[in-house]
Amino acid sequence: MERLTRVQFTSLEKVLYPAAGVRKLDVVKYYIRVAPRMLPFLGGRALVVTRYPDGVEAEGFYGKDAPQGTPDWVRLFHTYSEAAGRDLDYIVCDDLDTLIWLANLAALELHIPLSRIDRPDNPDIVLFDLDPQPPAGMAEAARVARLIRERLKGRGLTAWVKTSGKRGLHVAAPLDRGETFEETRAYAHSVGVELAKETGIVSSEKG
Amino acid sequence: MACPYSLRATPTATVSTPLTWEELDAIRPESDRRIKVDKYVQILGVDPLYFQSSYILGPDKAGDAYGLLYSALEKRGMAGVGRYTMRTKEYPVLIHAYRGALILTTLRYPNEVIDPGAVKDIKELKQPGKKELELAFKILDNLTGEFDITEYRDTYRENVEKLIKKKLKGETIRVERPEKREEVRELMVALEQTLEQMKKG
Repeated sequence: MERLTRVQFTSLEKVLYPAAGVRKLDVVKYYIRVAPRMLPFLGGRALVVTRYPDGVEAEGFYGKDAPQGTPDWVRLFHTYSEAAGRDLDYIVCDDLDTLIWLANLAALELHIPLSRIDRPDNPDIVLFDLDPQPPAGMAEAARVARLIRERLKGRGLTAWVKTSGKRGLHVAAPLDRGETFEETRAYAHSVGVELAKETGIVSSEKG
Repeated sequence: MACPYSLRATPTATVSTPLTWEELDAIRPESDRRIKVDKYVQILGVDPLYFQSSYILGPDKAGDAYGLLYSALEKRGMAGVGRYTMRTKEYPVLIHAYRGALILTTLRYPNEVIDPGAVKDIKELKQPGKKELELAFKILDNLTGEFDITEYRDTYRENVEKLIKKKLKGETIRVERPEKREEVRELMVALEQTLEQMKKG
């Protein structure tokens, strides 16, 4: 029989979300189902993943560098990391096999940078991370998200919104990669400062 | 940023979910999520015809108040009647106690329930004869039992699942033609036959 995947699965019955009863198998199935929608966002970017081999109730670990034993068919992006102070091999997930290989590593959270590896210094996304602090909640985040959308429209940018999956919302707009990270960051921060003055419920952290 | 559709390491396995701006409008301030109770009524006095959909309410950090309301409603056999807005529509709702939980049941508005007396064919029905009624009562007596919902299963769904299993095994599926519907019989004859069959069975 022809093999459907190059991934060698391990301990698929392992429960990764004890409170919800979600096993590694369920995570793999979930990522297979969302792959057609997810891969266009994941592809061509140097990933940062958070792995939970002992489940989400135990400590997870954050990884940029591809782990030992990474199969040779996984695409890597070799570059210097300022934070690590050395060269790293970042995982690039362009296809379904890589996505379910990550799921098999219990890499539950897949984080993408705001630029693609062919031009790492020019962001193709501007992101507003709305993380409401109690007593503010989702309703306040939604209100601020709509204000940001208006601002971005004024600049000719189309805003998209998603839940962060935790407490808040992410508002993002695609960029034509004509700016550096520093320039985009300064713009995003200026929007935050303006909204802080206007609404009194925003505080902008330069990040 | 967490990639769109990425799982998060939260207890309930949440996902970073793309939304449309219209969906975002559904998120409203906490105050709008309140259920306004106007009064309390005897639950048996509510016509079940108005019942629409039921939802389990969670205690949401107010376990004491929740438990208290549950016990009071349960012991008195009462329910709260009020209003609640879901998505963009306001519904009349009933809050009642059921197997340890508070249940919110949305109700139909009076204009959503047609008065059967206004239907012409029903208005013009003839009164049944005495003999017919006696026979009908006999049938009722013979088939009287306790209500038990577990006697009913979703056979359509079971059949579809069976069909899928067969198909997976590569079996050919034959479509059976339904039998011709029995002709409409005289009411009296039908009643007699039903009784006859029950005596045998």
